Amino acid sequence: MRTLAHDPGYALLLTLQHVEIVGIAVLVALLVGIPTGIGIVRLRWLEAPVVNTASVLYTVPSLALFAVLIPFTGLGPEPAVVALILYSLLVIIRNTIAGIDSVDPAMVDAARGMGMTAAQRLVLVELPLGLPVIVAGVRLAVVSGIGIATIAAYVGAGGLGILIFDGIRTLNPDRVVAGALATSALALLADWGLLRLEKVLNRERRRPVEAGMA
Amino acid sequence: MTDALAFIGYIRDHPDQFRQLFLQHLELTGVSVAVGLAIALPLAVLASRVEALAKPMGWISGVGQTIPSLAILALVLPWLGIGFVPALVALTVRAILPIFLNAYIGIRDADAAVIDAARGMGASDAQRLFLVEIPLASPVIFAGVQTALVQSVGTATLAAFIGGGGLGDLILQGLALVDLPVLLAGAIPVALLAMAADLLMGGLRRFLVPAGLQVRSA
Amino acid sequence: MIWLTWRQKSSLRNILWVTKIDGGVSMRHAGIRLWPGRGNRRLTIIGLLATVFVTVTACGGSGTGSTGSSKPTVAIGSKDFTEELLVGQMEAALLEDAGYKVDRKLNLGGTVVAHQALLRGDIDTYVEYTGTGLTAILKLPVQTDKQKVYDVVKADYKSKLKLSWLKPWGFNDTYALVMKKDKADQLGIKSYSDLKSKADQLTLGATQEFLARPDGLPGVEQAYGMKFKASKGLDPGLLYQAVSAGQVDVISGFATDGRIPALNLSVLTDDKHFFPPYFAAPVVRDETLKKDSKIADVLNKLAGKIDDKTMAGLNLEVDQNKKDPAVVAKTFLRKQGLIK
Repeated sequence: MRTLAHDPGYALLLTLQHVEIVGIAVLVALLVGIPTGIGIVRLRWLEAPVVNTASVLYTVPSLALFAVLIPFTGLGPEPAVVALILYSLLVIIRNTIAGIDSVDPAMVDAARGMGMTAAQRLVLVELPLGLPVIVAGVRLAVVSGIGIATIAAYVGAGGLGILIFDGIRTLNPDRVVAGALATSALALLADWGLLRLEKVLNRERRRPVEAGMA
Repeated sequence: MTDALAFIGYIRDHPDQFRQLFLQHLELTGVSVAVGLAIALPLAVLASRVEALAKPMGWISGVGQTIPSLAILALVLPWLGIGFVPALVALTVRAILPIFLNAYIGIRDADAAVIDAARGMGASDAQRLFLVEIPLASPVIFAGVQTALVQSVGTATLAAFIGGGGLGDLILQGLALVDLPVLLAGAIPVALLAMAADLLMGGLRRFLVPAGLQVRSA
Repeated sequence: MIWLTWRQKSSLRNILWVTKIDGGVSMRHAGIRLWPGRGNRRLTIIGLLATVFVTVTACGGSGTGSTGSSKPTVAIGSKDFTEELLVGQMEAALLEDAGYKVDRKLNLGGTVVAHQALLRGDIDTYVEYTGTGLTAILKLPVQTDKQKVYDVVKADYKSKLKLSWLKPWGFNDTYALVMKKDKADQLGIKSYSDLKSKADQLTLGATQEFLARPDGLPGVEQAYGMKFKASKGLDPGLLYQAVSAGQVDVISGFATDGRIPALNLSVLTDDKHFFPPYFAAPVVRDETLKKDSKIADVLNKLAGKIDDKTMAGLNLEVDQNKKDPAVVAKTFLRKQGLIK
């Protein structure tokens, strides 16, 4: 192991690459997944086909999925990002549906009684109240994505997996441990942060709705 | 499209190699989950009995879940070297965590009233465990095993990095030579295997778990 | 069917969270508290942040290059084993010393992966071996004359792929079947032909690439009419330890690997000359050279400067002494007076 002063630039780079892959993937999955979830709540017959497709994608092992994507994406971070988007979609779509479903029907009725349009009800009532559940989905996507992204180092994506592969290649357990600890700590950190956000949102949710409607 | 189906041709042309790798994959997956279950279940019972152990064990398995599988595989190397057995050990370690977590929670949350009733009927500790708590926890335990099995099918592909064999060999060979049919001859069967494992365990659960305990949909 | 499974999963939703972990799916109970109580929380977070930072910085690798120059940035690739990491770092160090900005994309994967990256322009250069270019990339028949192989490869890369071979750096890193010395002596095996009668009792350890390449296992087995009892695909870094520990009997090694003498292994003789020569030289995209032809001059500074023994010594520094490839490469170049 080398000293902290030696080359923090490279180390930071690996961590940032890791965060970037997972971050972009989850963001894209949110942009696609939330509207899909909203659509499903309106058109219930879509739930089975969409959620089943996402579940099937979810069972595909990561090394296999990276491999299958390479002919389309080339090597580098792209196959990793695409794979993580596909994996994240399931939890995000599912939790969007669950989040909206969890909103008290009386609350939605009240909003309707106040003369809100469907779009207003969605943006002002259903989504804000369903948010904690959606954030719970994001948390799962992020935490699991951080683990999966280590394998992506094999397809040239960079990130903390590099340390683990280097460790295997040079028979250097120190490097493996460093890669594992850093990945694990990153996952725990993300877990903690998003869990906190969930709790804050839940607290907000319990407050009277007037504030949000004023 | 013809390209995408060329993997079937590859399997047909290399039946012995494919059969061997496929069986290795099944063995890695099946044995790791079976051994994992044998280790995790007693640990879960222990955690449910000894209050002081429950918290640290839950914490360890929670944190353990965040350690990448690849790292577990790599850390086994210095002790056990390369090949099938080290891969199996790493996969077993990986399988223990979800089974333990589910089993512990299932037993912990078994209905206290039912357990009291069993105690009232004079059931011994062992009887209570095997006749009441474990059956009550069975849907949750099953979910854990299902998870572990699907996960193990995927993680077993990583065995190809350390000489453990399995279908990951074909994926890595296909990647090394950018040979799509070879790559897909590994990747597609693995994906199908994972789905099959999921369906199989789901079916087994419906079949084995007592009707009254089946989780009704919300 | 899948629908039912999904229903079951969703009905368990309130009890369990489904989490995907690398490789598969895992469930995690919402009620397990990963986080300690209020008092310790801040400490835990600081601890975690510190862990990320310390573990990562403690194990850093190569530097990120100098800045502030008008010369083009050169992206350098390499395959995924020690020697390639070293020669990749040497390319990088030479170019940096000459004032170029360098983007290190080392450790890409096997041969074809690095080659594809070069073709696509993801990288501008990596160091390739003449024999590998001949058989694995151009799919031409094996030749044994060192100069002829280089000439053929150079001409074909230029006309077909728009890639330039620069001057070879001197060492010939041929594929080699390697055994433990005492085991080879005991079985009386000196050459590949000696293996023929014994192969069906021996297990081969090889890279996944060697197992599948035409100039790898399928070719050798055909040329010598032998068949190993079993073969295990391994990451390149694990081969030597595996044969040394007796977990496999024969490995597909590289002739310039310093661990061969260090671990008391012996290289068997390729008596039918199945393997072509594998001299290492940088391959650069024509497009890159068009932008700045001086890049070739910089990389040619190492032409003929590294012989087999020197390369084996450098490899050993990394494999045995656990030194950082970037450091080993720079130290060597400095000693040669090639960089400041």
